Amino acid sequence: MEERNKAASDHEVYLTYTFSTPREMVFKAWTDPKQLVKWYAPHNCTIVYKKLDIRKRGEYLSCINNPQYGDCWCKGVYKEVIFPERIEFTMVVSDKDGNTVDPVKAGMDPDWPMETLVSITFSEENGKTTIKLRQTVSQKLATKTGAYPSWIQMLERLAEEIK
Amino acid sequence: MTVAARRDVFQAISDPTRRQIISLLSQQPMNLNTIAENFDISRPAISQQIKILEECGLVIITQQGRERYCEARLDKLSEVSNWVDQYKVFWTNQFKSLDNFLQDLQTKKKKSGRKK
Repeated sequence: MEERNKAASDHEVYLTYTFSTPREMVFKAWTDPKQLVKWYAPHNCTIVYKKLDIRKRGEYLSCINNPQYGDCWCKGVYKEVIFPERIEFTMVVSDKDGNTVDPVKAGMDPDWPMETLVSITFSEENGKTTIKLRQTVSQKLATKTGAYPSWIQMLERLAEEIK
Repeated sequence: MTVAARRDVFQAISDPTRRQIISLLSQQPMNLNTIAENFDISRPAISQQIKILEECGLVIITQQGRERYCEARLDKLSEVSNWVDQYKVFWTNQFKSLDNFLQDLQTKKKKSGRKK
C-alpha cells in the first residue's frame, strides 16, 4: 500500500469506487479483451480495438464511436499489469493508424492532454473490490499555464475560500 | 490567420508576473503604483499585465481620483478545478458501466451454477 501525500492528489484526477464483486473478477473485466469491449465504451457509444495487448509494454489502439461526435481514436501502452492488483497505462489521442494527433485537430477540446497516465489499483475486503484510479492531467495543466502544481493548488485553495 | 487572444483563467495564470500579481491581490486590494513597487519591471508593463487580468475576469479596476484600485475576483479560479472534474465525470460513468457489467456477470454465473 503506498500512501502518497495528499498534495499529489489535489491536482490530479483521483477517484475511488467500490464494486460488490471479488477482486479477480473486477481485474479480469479490465484485462480480458472480450470483457473489456462490453463495458468500456461510454454510454451510447461503441468501442473497437484495432490493437490490444494487455500485458507489460503491450500496446493498444482503440476507437470509440460516439453517434454524436463520430470516431475518437486513442492509443497507449500498458506500463504495468500485475494480477490482480494493479494496471497502469497511457492514453494518447491518435488517428486510425496510431499516429499521435493534436487533440485540437481531432476536434477535441484544446485543453485535452496529449498524453495522460492512468493508474488503477484493486483491493478487496469482504468480497467487495475497491478501485483507486489516478490520472495525471495536471502535467498538461502545468504546461498549459506554466504554473507549477503548487501554484495551482494555491489557486484552488483561494477558490475554495471564496465559495 | 490571426487568433483572438485567449482571455480565460488559464491565460491569466500562464504568466509568472500575472501569477504574482494575483498572489498580492489575493491578500488585499491595492492601487496600481503599490503593485508596481513589488516588481522590477516598469509601471506600464505592470499596468498591461493587470489589464490582461481584467480581461480574463480576475481583477476589477476602479478609478478613484488619480489612483487606480485593483481588486482580485478569484471565483473564476474554480474553473481550474472544474477542468480536472471533467475527467472525473468520464471515469465515474465508466465505473457505473463496469458495475452493471459485473452484476450481470455475477447473475449469469449464479444461474449457470444452479444448472450444474
